[in-house]
Amino acid sequence: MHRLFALLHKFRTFFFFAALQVICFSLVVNHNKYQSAAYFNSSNAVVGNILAATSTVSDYFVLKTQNENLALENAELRKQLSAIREATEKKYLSDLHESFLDEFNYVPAKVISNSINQDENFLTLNIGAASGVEVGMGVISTKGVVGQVISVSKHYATVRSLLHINTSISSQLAKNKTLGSTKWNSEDFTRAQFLEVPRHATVSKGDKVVTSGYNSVFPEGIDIGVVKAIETPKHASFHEIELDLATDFSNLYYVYVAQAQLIKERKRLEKESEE
Amino acid sequence: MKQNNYISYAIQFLLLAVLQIIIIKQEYVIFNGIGFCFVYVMFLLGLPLNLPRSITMTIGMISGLIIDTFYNTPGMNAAACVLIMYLRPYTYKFLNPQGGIESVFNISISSVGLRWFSIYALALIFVHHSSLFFIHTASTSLIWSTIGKIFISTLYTYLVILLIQYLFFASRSKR
Repeated sequence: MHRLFALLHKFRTFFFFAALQVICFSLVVNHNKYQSAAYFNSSNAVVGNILAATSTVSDYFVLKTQNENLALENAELRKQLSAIREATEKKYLSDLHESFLDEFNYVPAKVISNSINQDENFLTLNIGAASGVEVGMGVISTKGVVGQVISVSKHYATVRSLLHINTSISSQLAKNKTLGSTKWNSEDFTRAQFLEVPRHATVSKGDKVVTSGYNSVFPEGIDIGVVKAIETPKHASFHEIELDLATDFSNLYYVYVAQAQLIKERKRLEKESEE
Repeated sequence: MKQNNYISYAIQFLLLAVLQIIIIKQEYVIFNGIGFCFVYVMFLLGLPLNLPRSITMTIGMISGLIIDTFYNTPGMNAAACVLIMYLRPYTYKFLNPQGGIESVFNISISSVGLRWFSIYALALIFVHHSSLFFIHTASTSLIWSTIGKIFISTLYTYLVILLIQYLFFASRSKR
């Protein structure tokens, strides 16, 4: 017994080192389990406050681009407004539109931290559970898809960006609804891959790719990108398609969190039909 | 006197962390996402050599966790910092087999010389970056790009630390 203590004492530094490493690695592993990072990420309240303060300073330097973006958004909204007016003239179209409006509710949020040059990129938003944000909700910008909420505190939310090596978004070709999924391969923040598109589907350069709306994270028809290059290896059963992303991740200041209103009803229905 | 020194260490960490989180993290990734700079490591390299290892490892872990929190990589920087703090005594035993260096309070270029500091810093930065990038890519990408990242980032971090050392620490010793 005495020897055992002597041994422990002799290697006490090493044991302490090992203990600290075990703590660190358990943090790493827990974080990778998705969603469960409780304290050590940017939706932690203290960190959120610091990031928000930094962002108020850096905001002044980007006022010009923000103004331009807002002007563009205004124009876009005006266009949509006129489209809606046109639609209300036809009764059945307006009914269709209302059913869409009911399904998703949009909450605007400001991006207080963003990264684009890691393998795993995250954003931090200045709204959280108090504004009704929940884990799993989709985040979009005026230009297209941004990511998905993975962690929420009272006033902040951490979003896993589309530019994250594990993100996969159910998507479809706008012209003929061919399904596939969009992934990012960590090389370039302006490009992504559109995968699992069967060989027999016709795809051409310049085709739009949009969200499918099948998993009720994103509404249907939100822009993801435009087909840039297509390759079809001789014996492969899928196309290899490269997209130019619609969202400019290097220039993101305001985004919208899409809250699916009827998600519980939909989940319940899907579950019932499985049973 | 001694307490003053600890306060100056705390301030040094604060400034380096601010530099790391607010400026370097957002803007200064070079070569298309290959060169990463983790300048806060300089604070750990500069800690007094006469501190017990259990203390330096704890400091390493805490500062690593603070950086991790902002990078959304819980535990990764912390693990790398604990590792270099554990290995640190071996590097200066290797560089000064007879001892004598332990009396230096703050390790910097002006206190130990450029050659000594470079070998010491490059070795530990290399270990830190290797462990960080390997933990990070354990599940994601390829080994060659990781090795490239490690070498380029090690040089990058080292050069930035050298720059800071000459700008802020060299002048103090002349006074």
